[in-house]
Amino acid sequence: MFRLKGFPFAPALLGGLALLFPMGSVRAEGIPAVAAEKSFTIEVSRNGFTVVEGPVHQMKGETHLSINQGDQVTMTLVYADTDYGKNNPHRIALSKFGLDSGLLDADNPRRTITFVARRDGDSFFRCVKVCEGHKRLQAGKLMVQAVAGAVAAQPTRLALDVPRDVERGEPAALAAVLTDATGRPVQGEPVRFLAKTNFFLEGWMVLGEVTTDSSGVAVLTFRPAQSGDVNLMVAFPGDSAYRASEASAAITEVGVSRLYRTEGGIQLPGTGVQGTRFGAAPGFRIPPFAAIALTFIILAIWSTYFFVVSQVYRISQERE
Amino acid sequence: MASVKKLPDNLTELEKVGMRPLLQTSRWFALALVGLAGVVVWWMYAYSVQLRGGLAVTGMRDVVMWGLYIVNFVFFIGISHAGTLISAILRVTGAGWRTPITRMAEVITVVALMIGALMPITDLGHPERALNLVIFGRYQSPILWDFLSITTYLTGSLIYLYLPMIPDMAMLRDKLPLTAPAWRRQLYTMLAAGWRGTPTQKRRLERAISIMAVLIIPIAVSVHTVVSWIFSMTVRPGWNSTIFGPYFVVGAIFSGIASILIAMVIFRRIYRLEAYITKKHFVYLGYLMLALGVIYMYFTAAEYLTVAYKLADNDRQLLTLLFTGSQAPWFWAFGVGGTLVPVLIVAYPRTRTIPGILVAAILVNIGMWLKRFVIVVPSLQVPLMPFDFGRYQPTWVEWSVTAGAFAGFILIFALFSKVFPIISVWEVAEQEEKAARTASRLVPAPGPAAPREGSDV
Repeated sequence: MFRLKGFPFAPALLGGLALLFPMGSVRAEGIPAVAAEKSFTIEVSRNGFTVVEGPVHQMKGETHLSINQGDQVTMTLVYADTDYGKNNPHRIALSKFGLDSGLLDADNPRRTITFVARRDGDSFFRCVKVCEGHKRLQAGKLMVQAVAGAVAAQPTRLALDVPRDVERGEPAALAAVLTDATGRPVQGEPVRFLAKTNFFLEGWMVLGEVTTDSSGVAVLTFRPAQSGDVNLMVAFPGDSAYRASEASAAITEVGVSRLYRTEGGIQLPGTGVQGTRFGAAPGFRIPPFAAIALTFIILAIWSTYFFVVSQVYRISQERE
Repeated sequence: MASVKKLPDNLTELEKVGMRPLLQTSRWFALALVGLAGVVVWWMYAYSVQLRGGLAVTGMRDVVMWGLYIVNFVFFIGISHAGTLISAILRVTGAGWRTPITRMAEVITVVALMIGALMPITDLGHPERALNLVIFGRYQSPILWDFLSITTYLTGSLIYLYLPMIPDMAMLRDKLPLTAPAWRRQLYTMLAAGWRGTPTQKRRLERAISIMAVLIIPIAVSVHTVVSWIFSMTVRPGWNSTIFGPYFVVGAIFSGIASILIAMVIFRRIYRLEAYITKKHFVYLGYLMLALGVIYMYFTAAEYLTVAYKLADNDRQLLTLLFTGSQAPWFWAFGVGGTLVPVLIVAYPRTRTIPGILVAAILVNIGMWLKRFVIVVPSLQVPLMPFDFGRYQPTWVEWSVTAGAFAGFILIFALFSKVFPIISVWEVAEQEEKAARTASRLVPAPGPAAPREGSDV
């Protein structure tokens, strides 16, 4: 514990900082270490969903299934239009989890969906096939209560597909594919594209962030403007349901000319500016000696600073 | 509760005045600091909202893409000229009356530069984009010139602030009460740089200060000239001007003097510096402000008259906007309330009092902030292509950042005054000694003690 003596306002300042940067806290009490198993048997008919096994809440015509995050869920769907007189096929999907029952009809009267509810929040299970009673089969709701630390995130795999050769300054499509441990595409997750840059310090520059589609694919159009080859990386930051993953690749730029060229001045690294693509209008150009003069002035000023600081050093070294 | 520590008995009256604020803090002062810190915290919260939501949370859009942040930037860089003028120019010209106010002026420079430099970074949205200036910078661009001149000026100002503090640091090192916190003693010992006041040390320090005083003037002028070129090297109505360099420099010194006058009133009152910062200082600086105000009016007239006479289509739209349109209240508030009225207040002997000069200084600073708004926003509103006029409505995020920037400026300034003497003790003492010697030469016969310079009120 440190104390700023002589500053009566220090506690208030520190208090303000604490407000600004609150320390996080984790509640761990009462959280089951092992996920529970939940089973539901649901009859699907032109009249809607009817839960015949498992806890259920019927609210304003909707069927609500309530579970906890991390639960192992077995959802058995039973075809219940046997009295209809003709086949009335359904197909039930849990879009948030990327799951689908497959065709549920007289020939396939029982389907089972098994999954671990890794993500919290509400989602819907509904019929995605046009059928008799289709409207009534849109009202299934799965409510997953969040339980901190109750579920281990699922590993993911990220692949980056880039063209081998890219014309400098031309657009190139970078495609990332995000799949889970079983190889199923992960939809609706952000994937960040980065390119390695090197200026004094090496680092990754963010090119953009794209959300994966239903195939788990995120595509970013990249227009390389740097000279030389470009190392690229895609990164999935992970969330409560999926673990982070990343992949990298390199593209080779072809093309002999620089993307930018300097018409006036002298060639200095990183100062190429004249955009050939957009055809900047010809006009006044600062003559080459201006850069030399400017450099000389700046060096002179900073040398003077150095001299002045050296005087302070010599003052400190002074002996009586 | 106010913290009161007894000052050592071996101090001169001047040393006591310099040391007292460091050891004693009134309850009201502490409360004010907490209030300022609260506004700064709010600023950081607003900025975090912008970081999360992007620049969409501001009122800036594709047409009017600069707003309050750039207005604040130009304003703070402007008032940073206070230190240069008061300290460097008056030192070079040998104006002895400057000594009690030089440190305040120099601190204004450093703090204003630090806060001002944050504004364009805030304006970028993602702060890491500032690195692009280094990666993709080109020496032909005024933005790069700005970057170079501001960093050079900030470094120079820090050195120039530090050099005259060395003897005062030594005084604090040697005379600080034993009850003072250890960190203070360590800080002063380090910053004193082994100062013992030997002739060689004095010679070196004088040389270093003189060099910096001369060097810092052209650098300061270059800074605001280059800031103006960011605008005037653009073909836009209101910005396409050849006189923007000197126009901005004069405006910067004008608002810089106003800032130092406000700081003088506040610190004089809080730290009981009436014996050292006298009416004479206010009047002298008031005269300078008056002169700069008149020059600024001349530049303003020259700028707008030449444009209005030629009346190109875009210029006509801008002038309509400024003179009679939606921006007219701000333009006339600047022109009349921020320039003409302060000049008249200082020019008229009956209002040339300390409260009168304070009112004039406050009006000048408000007016000059409005002037920067009038420069930045209306020019961007004028359509360069056949579209409608651009619109700009600052959001609460921008107002919060603006309030926080001002609060941060005052907070850092106030904290500085609690750690370091706000007047240059050794320079004031030296000046008093010089005045006493002069007085004794002028009055050969024994008589009453010579009055302290500036104590004529």
